[in-house]
Amino acid sequence: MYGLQLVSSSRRRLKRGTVYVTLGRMEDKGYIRSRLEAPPARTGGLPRRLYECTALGKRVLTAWTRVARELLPEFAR
Amino acid sequence: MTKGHRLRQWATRVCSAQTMARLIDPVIADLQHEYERAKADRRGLRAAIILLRGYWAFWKVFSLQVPAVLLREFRVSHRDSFVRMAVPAAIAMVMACAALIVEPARSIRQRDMLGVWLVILLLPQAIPFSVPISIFTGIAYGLRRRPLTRRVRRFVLMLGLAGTLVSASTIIWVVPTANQTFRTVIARQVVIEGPPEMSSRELRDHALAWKSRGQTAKAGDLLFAFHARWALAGAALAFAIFGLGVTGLRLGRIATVLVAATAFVVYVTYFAELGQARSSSVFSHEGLAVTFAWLPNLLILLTGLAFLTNEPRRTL
Repeated sequence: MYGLQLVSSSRRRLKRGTVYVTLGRMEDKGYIRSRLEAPPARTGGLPRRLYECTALGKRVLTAWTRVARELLPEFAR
Repeated sequence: MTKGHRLRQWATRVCSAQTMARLIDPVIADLQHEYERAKADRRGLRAAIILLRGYWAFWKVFSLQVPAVLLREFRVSHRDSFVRMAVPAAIAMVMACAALIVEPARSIRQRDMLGVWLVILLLPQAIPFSVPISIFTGIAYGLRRRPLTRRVRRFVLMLGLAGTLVSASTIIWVVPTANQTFRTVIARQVVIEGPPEMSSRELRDHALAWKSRGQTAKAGDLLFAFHARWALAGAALAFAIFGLGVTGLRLGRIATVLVAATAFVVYVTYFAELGQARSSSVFSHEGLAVTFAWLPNLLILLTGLAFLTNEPRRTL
């Protein structure tokens, strides 16, 4: 996904001004990886960066989701 | 030329290759792609809005995120310099704050009302003086005898700008309220606001009102106070560049501390003396008020730049 796709699919929970910092930090931690798409041929300009989840990122997400699901009733009590 | 091309060129001068690849390029790429798509669909208004949003995102990333990233990069690449900067800067900050609040704090003791929170109310007015001297000490001491690479200069510039932002925010939002609260608590009754307790807009409005009534001395008093606030906010940047210049002088530790102490005393004394003697009609001419308020910053900045210019090329 592109950064802007993430912003629009997050229902404004992610902001344009901060999404790339978050993605950069996630990439540093190995949760995601990125690559550049081919530069636009007709208009020129910069190629967009595509992000995808790594196996480690998926495992961390699963673990976090499970922990959150287990802890949520404890907090609600 | 594609949209955002010039912004990118300009950002390349300030940001490292990694920051460009991670932060700046994706924002500009988004702007370009969205804009081109809207233009291809012949949606002119939409394209203009996208452009504005894209530029807004760029400046937001640049002003909020890039300084933090530069700071992190500098911390990693110059780890020992960073520690050498942070410790003296923190000591200078504490000492400058203590020196500035000791006198008003004594007046609290005289009234048998000494409390930590009252001292805290005195801190904001010390911050605009302490931040520049802290930044100066940190730079002059921490980067002493170190090569002033492009990354170091960039970092110092960002540090100066961040200090200016902190000082300006404190002066605009915190100092007037803290001063008024302090006076009210000490007097144990509601006290009419004086110039230090007024907001910047109030200061200027009052100054112009006095001037229109022919009260030039009072107008000058307020006009100088108004411009001195902004000059104090800008002092962090001037002192950061001065600090960079002083590093080029290859001074020893004691000499560096002496320069920092002297700069602090001279700077504070200048504003304290003019603060007491400013009730004159001279400052009712706005040009003179601006000149006298900004003169120390200008001199400090020029001295720093002169030191930098005379620095041997091998250290560049």
